[in-house]
Amino acid sequence: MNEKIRKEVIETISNLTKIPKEAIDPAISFRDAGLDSFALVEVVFSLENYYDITFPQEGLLDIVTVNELVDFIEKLLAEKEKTESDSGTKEAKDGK
Amino acid sequence: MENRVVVSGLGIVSSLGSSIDEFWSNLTEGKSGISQVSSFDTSNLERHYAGEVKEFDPSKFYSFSDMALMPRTHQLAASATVLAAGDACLKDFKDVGLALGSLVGGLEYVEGLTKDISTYPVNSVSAHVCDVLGIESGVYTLSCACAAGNYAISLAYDMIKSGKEDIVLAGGADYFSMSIFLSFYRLFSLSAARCQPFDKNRRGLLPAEGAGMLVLESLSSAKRRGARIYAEVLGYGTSVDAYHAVIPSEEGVYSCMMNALDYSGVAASDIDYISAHGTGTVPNDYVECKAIKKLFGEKLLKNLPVSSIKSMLGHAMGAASSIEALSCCLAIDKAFIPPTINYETPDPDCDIDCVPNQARKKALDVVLNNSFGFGGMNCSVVFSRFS
Repeated sequence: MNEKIRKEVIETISNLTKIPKEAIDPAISFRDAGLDSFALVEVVFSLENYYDITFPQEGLLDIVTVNELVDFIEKLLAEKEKTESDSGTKEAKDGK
Repeated sequence: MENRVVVSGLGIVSSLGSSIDEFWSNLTEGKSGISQVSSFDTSNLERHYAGEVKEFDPSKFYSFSDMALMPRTHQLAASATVLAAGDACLKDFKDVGLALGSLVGGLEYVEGLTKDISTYPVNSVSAHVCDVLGIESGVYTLSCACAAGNYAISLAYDMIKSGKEDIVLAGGADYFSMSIFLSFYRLFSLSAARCQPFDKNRRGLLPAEGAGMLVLESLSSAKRRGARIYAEVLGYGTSVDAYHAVIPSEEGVYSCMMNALDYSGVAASDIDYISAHGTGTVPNDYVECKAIKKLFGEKLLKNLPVSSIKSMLGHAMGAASSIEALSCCLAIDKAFIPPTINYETPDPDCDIDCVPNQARKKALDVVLNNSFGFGGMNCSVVFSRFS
C-alpha cells in the first residue's frame, strides 16, 4: 500500500474532522471512527482537489476503511497516469 | 369549538399519471415511473434516471394567458390544484385558503430556462395558483425541504381546525431540477436506475417531479356541500432536530412520529400502516427504521406494514410528502396498501414489513405519513378512515 497516500488521506480526514491524526486507525470503519457518510463526501471532495481526480459514482459506498480508500485512490491515480500517458503518446504521434 | 378536518378532493400530476384513477392503478400494480432523463443532457455524467412527468401539458388542465412564461413548478402546482378542486366540486375560490410547499420553486430562472425573475421566489408558485383560481383568502407558501408537502397539509389542518378557514387547498409541487440532480450526484446519493428503499443493496434516491394537492375541509362544510370524503386528518407532528445538514437523526424522527400520535390522540397500536419517507439512501432508511422500531416495538411491528412509494415515483422533493399523503387517503379509501418495489435483499438494519413488490389488500383505520427534510425538518401527518 502506498504510504504517502495513506499519510495524506489521514491528514485530510484529520484537518476536516479535527480528529487527531494519531487517533485515526486506517483499519477500522469510518462509522466507528466517528465519520458519517456526509463527512466522507467532504473528505472525498478535498481529495479530488488535492490529487486532481474525480471519484466515480460507483464504488464509494463500498469503501468502509481508510485503507480501502487509499487503495481506491491508488487505482484512480494509476488510471489518470495511464490516460495522460496515452494522450501524450497520441499527441507525439500527431506531431503536436 | 374545534372543527374536524376531512379530505374532500385530490389532484395529482406525477410520473405515474395525472388522474387519481391512473395514479392509483399504476401504484397498486407496482409500476415504475422512472425513466431516462430527457429534460437535460446527462451524457457526461454516470447517472441518467429520474421520475420526470413525460409529455406534461398544463393547458390540458387550465388556461393562462402567459403560460409559456410560467416555470414548470408553477404549472405543476396549478394543474394539480385545479384537478383537486374539480374532484371536490369546488367552484368559488374567493374564501378558499391555500397552503403550498415547494423546495425548488422557480429555480428555472437561475438555471436559465425562464427569463422572468418575478417567477423565481418560491412564493410566486402560490401566487400563480391564486391567479389561476381566483383565491383571495389565507395563502401560505412553505419551504420546508422534502417535508414541505406535509408541512402545508399540517398548516391547512390548523387553519380549518381553529375556524379560520372552511376550505384550504394544501400540498406541494416541484419540477425536476438540474441543480437538484447535480447536487445529489455530487453527494454520491443517486441510484443508477432503480430506487430500492429498505433493500440491503440500496444505493440512493432518484430525483423526481410532480404535484399533489388535497382539498382539506371542515366536516360541517363538507356535509353542507354533500362532498365526497376520502379520509379524515387527525393531526400531525413536527420536530426540528437540527442534527445534521443532510442526515436525519433517530431522535428527531422518533419525536416527530411521537408528536404526531400525541396531537392526533391516537396510540401507536392504532396505526395500521406507515407511508415511509423511505428515500432509498443508506442513512435515511436505516435511521427511519430504527426510529420506527423504537416507537412501535417488536410486537406491534409484526403487523405494521411500512412501504415507500418513492420506489415507484422517485423523490419529488417538496411535492413528495403531499403525493404520499394523497396515496395514504386512497389507501384508506380503497383498503389497499401500495408496495415497495425493487425489493430483493433483506437488510438486517431495516427489518420491517415493507410490503415488498406486491400491493396488499387491508382495511385501514389510521395511517401515518412520514416526511423528513434536510436540516432536520421533520413532519408526520395522521389520516384516518372517516366515520
